[in-house]
Amino acid sequence: MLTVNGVTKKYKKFVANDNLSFTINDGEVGILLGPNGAGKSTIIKSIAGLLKYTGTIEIDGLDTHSLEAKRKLGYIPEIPALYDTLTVDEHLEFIRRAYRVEDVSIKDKLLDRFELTDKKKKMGKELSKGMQQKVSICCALMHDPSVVIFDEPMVGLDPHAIKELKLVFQELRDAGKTVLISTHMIDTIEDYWDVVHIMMNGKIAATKHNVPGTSDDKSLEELFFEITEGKA
Amino acid sequence: MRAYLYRVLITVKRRPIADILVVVGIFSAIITVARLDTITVNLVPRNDEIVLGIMSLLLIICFDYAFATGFRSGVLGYHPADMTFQFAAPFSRVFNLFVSFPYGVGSMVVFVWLLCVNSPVLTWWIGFTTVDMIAFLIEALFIMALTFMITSFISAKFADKVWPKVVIVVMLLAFHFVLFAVVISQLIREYGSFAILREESLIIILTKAGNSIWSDAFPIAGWVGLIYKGLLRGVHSYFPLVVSLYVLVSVLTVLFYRKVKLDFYETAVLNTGRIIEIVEASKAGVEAVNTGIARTAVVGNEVYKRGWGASAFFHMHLFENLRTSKLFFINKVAMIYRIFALIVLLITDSILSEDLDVLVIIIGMTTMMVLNAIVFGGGKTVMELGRPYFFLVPENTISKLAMCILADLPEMFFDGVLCALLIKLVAWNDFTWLPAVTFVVMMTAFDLLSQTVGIVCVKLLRQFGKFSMMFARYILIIALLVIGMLPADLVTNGITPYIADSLSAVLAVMIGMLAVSYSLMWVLMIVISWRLFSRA
Repeated sequence: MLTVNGVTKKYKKFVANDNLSFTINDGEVGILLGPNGAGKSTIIKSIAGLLKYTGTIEIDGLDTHSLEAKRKLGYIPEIPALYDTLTVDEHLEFIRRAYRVEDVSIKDKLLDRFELTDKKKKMGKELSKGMQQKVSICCALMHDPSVVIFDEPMVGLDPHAIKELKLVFQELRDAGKTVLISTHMIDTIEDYWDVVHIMMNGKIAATKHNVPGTSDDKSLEELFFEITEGKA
Repeated sequence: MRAYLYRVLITVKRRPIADILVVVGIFSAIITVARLDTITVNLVPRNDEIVLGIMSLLLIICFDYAFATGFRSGVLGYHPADMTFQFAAPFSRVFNLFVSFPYGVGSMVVFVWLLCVNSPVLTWWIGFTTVDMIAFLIEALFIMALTFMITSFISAKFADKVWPKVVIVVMLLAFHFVLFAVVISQLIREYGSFAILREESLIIILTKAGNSIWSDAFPIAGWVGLIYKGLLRGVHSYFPLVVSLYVLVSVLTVLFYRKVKLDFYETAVLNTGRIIEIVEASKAGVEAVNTGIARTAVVGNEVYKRGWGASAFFHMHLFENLRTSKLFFINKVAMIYRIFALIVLLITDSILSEDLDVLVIIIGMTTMMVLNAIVFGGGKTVMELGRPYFFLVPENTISKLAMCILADLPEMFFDGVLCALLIKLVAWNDFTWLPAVTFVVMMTAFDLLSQTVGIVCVKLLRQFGKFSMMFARYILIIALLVIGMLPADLVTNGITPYIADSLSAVLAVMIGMLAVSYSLMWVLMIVISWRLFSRA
């Protein structure tokens, strides 16, 4: 479970996140939806423990800065960055060792799933952005985290990888994991989400739950444009 | 730890050329130091006190270098991938701070290597032996290791705060200044007056300064230096005192690392964002090794609203520079080279006789120019070529280029003034204000030329890789430096008989001619760049 409680992040006087609070439960896919500059990446980086903030962020009840929390977290950054002189396979091996994962076979399973098997001997610097993103995703899933956060994961991926990633989201949910995805592309989240927080100017402007069998009066798209175009 | 070592070992394995260079470097240093005793000619006869005094000052320089390196490296030595694979992974903050250390340690190793391969100069000058050099290296190792650990900690602790770091640097500079002032005043008292002191040989002044109680009291460097002093002087009481002090400071440092909470990730993330930009620029064929990484970018109520057309580039660069630092014209890399140039000036001054001061000026000037070929060969304009706007903005190419270069002018001008002051300091009587002013103009022209050569090299040689391009650029600038000296030499020789009674005038003419040569070459390079970029 991921709990964000009263998180405020300021860059000098600019408030990137303004008293944000939300919870994503186990077995839920949460979406942070918002235009560029809404503060999505800032909260994602704060959850990953990369930024300073006020408030609390907990992963399964553990402070996000603690090593125990980090062991439970998988993070896919917005811009994939790999080590230049490590191959794809060695990246996964490094992560396997860093997170003390005993099962060696998981590497091959992930490489196979994301069609990276034939690229496993390629260096990080030799890969395209989309390929690098796939490696980032594999690395984040390597240690079977209980909470996985994705920062704009679809950017740069080919249609097949997008389809595979959507399956991954659903599988993670079915396995009882907590998934948080930040994106600005409504059409990519379709029907696999459980809760969407629409962000605007560092705040959560609206929250919408995907409850099967019920029909809200407004679609997600209508709600999003109402908020972001200032008609709300 | 195992995971980190796995990654590091693979990286080492994948860089055979770098590994070969390291082996060659170590081998050359060992051979140089081992063969010092074969040099039998000394300018100043070997004397233990002179060796100890100079060694003491060199150890203080080692301390300063480690201090500056640790201060810079704490939050800078990260690869963008470290943000995901180290910071977000279950590694402690202290461990992740250590991950950045190879960046600073590498720089210090190169510094020590430079001292080793240049050690024959010390032998030739004051009779340094192999044993002296080994003792110096061991002491330097202990000093630099502890100093680096302390300043890296401070840098990480105050990663996003400017003032604590400024206060510490100011305190260190003040400490140096006080040390210098106290030693000089002590020497003035000893000699009776400053005029008499000035007559004394530089080597004696440096020896006395290095062996003063104030140098011995210098934190870490002075204390550790006492061990070899004790050995040569036969005073064995230094050893336990120094070891106790060193152990005490080391224990305190470890305690600070263990007990104090470090929170430097955010600053490292911001700086790494800048590195990503540089990497992207490099992919576009532009190298940016000489471009400093902005540690702070103040975003307050500043509004960028100046410039129109091509001049928008000038104002944008100026705006960015000012936002990074109000003292943006102080090039930190150049400052390090200036210290080196000052050392060359002082050594040359102490070696050559009084009536050869003009030679001291020329050697100092040439050293500064050779070093500036490295400093100003890159620059912000070169970075601009990695972005599309330079090519897309519908303005005349030469105007855009000139406007970009113009924004670097304050930095070049300040550097020229600083260089002139350094030469003035050493050759006070001969380097009068007329040649000094001419020198500032000449240095600025040469820096402009270096930068434009850098731009031309980026355009022509980018496909050969970053290092080939840098090497070719450096060779080309040095070649132009020498070519520029030819007309200056001819003209100076031609008119010297008419103005021979005024050394100032001769110097001014010579330097002025250099300024004209480099300015003309700069114009030529601008035309070449213009034609190259017009075809882009």
